[in-house]
Amino acid sequence: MTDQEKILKAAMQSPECPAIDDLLSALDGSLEETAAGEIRKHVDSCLACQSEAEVFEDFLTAVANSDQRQDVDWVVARLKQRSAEFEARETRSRGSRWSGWSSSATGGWRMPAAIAAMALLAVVMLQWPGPDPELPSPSGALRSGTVQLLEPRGDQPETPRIWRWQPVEGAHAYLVRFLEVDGRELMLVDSAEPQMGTPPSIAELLSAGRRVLWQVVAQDAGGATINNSSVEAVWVRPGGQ
Amino acid sequence: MSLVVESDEALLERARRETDAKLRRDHFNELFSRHQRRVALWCLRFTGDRETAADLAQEIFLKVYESADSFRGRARFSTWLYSVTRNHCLNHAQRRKRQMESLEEGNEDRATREWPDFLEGLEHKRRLELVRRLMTEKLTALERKVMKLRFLDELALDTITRLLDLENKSGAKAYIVSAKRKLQRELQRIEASHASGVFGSSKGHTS
Repeated sequence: MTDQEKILKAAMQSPECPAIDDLLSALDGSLEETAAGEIRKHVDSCLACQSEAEVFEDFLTAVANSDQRQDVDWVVARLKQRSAEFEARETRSRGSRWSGWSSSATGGWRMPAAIAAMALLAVVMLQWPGPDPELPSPSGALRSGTVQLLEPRGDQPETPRIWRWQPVEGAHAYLVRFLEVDGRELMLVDSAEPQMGTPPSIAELLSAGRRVLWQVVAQDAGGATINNSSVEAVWVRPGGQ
Repeated sequence: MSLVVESDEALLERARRETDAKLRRDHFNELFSRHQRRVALWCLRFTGDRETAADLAQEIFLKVYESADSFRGRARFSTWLYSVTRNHCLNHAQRRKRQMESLEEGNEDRATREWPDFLEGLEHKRRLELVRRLMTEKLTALERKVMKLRFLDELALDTITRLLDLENKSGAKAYIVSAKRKLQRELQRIEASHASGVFGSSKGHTS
């Protein structure tokens, strides 16, 4: 790093910068108000913390654009594929324990802790809702069995008036969940049709420049979930209405 | 069927307390499914390639799973997840940087490396205050963000480009060069003002 760059670095940082966890807690509103107020005051005058706050905001709100969506699908599918391999390994390992091939006294059958944890995670991931472990096709088309959201998705020129999704065979009703970007639920709406108008409170949030996530759950006549969609973010481009 | 959607924190708490392994897994399923695309996208932006992104995302979820008991609820779960993701990706980038050290050094505009001499003459604290003020006043928010990722987090230019979704041809490099030029120009202007006595006794010299 050159001297010039060292100056830049030092100028951005402040000796009073809070620990990253405290900064983030203050930003997400979970820190006690007096301490949060102090940190917010610091952020106002600290370039590094302002940038950290913006990057954090990006993490919470960023949505894959059309170029990235296929890659995100691929990564998610890849995770599940690997998990399936771990799961298979774990199952085999369990089988060997049960058959008593190894003595617990010697510990010969024991897997290293990390592998065991990976296997547990594999089980977790295997059961995640969403696409099967196969990698997405080049077209990025969603596989059957998921509810496909049609519109709106991503940035919009103006507040959307209609929300549509692909009908699901056997669905008696659809539940539409509107969420904050951190996953907190804003509203739950019932719809018999695979579309609905924009609820006024959601329209208001979007008009105010907020991002809203939405997800559709298809239900059968007994109220049981048939399937659900991925969660998509929607927002109105600045300058839109 | 209950339609009440639990918060992430409540769900995590339930997962931690659950003694039935199957139910515990179900709770983690639900929790991870809420965030998997967010983490996948972040890792993709960070690494630029799907294989490495999948590796990182897997490691991150494993870390969260393994350290679930250390979550104290001081922040939201999504915040904690960000913290784990950020730190894991930064560590990965720094490991990679060490491996590739100096490959990209020298590529940033050399003309912007030299700053006016008078800056050297200033006391350290004054120098920092001046540069900080200029950064606030003269740089855009995006330029500052790029500078922070570059000089504080020490990320590679291509990583910053992807992370911030920069679509211009030369990505983060253009912002670094632009920011340095702006700062250099301002510093030279200030130096010239000093030299011509604008800030000193020559005030009001023109009559």
